[in-house]
Amino acid sequence: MFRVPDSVAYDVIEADSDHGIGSQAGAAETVYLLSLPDGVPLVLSGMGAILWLLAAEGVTDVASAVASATGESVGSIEPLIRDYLESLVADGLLEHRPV
Amino acid sequence: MRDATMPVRTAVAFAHAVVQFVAEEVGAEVLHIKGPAVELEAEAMRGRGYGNRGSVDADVLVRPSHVQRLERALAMHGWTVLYEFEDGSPFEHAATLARQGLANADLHRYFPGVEGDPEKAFERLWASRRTVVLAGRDVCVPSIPAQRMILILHAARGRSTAHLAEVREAWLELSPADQLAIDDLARDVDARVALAAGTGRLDTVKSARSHDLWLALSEGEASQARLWRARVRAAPSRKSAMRTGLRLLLPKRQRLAVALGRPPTTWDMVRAFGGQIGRGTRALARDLGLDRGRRA
Repeated sequence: MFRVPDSVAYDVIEADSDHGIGSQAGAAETVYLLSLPDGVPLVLSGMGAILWLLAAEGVTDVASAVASATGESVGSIEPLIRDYLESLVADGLLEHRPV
Repeated sequence: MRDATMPVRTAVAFAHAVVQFVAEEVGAEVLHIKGPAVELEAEAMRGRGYGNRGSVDADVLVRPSHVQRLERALAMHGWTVLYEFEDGSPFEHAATLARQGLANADLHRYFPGVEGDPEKAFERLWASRRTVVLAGRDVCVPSIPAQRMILILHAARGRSTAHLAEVREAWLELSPADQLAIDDLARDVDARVALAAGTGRLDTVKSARSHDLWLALSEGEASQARLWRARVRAAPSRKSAMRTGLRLLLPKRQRLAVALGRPPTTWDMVRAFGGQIGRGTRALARDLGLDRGRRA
């Protein structure tokens, strides 16, 4: 389980709207992220944005959520998704939720 | 993951978030105003045209006694002052700070139209603050009546007559209770005259010293000389009238620097005065009653 660190600001731009803050993960196209207070703005788009949003919204099994939406097998995508989310943790853009 | 084409609204939201973060670091109290900090209930006060073009900077009202602390802290985080308070509008209400990659931040030490003690006025707004989420972070904003009042006061400065007309329409569509809440707040922070200008009720405050200023502003007065005299008359005392009058005549050093592309020399400053000194001083003397027997 992941969450957004207190020191990260973000703005979500939906695929068909310019009012993206608070949007649902499935409709998202782009997520802008900023580590507070001195970071450089970063952008995630497409699947990267969706994975960040699913994790940020507290989805417990991101790989299963993606697998059910795309028809892929969980086993084939789980390592890739795990590595990607852990790279976001390493960059300070997500953090593990305490259990 | 970097992107050079970040939307303006994102840059503005991030600037709000950074200011909030730094303010919390140093214990400075701030209220986020205008732009994305306006809640749905106060949206109508933006007007449909002018106000909906979207903000290009992050406007923040800072507790006056915390302004220096916040400015210093932002400087430590790489923000530079584009315009100091005295380099900004004639109201000298806001300083503009910039940081690469984000929208500018306008730090307000008071809001034009609020004529009461700035610290007490801030406290009045702070006491009824709310929290909204901006860029994923909690930020403090004024109450709904205060958000509406601020947008009305902003419109009353008359930068767009169409916008002001829309705000007046929106005012008339408010319930009597909502109008009363704004009137009560404006009374508490001494913003009655500007509020009256923004809501088409200036005739109810004819005897107020700032009446002529807000009449001129809300009607889009084009004559800078008339505006200057109205600002001097609106000052609360002879001493502050003198100070206001003279300060308005001084060239804005930082704006001159931006225009010239270099720090202005003494000669640049003298030239920028142009013919204003003599003209302005005569008008000032007349307005202060110091020029008996001589017409400007």
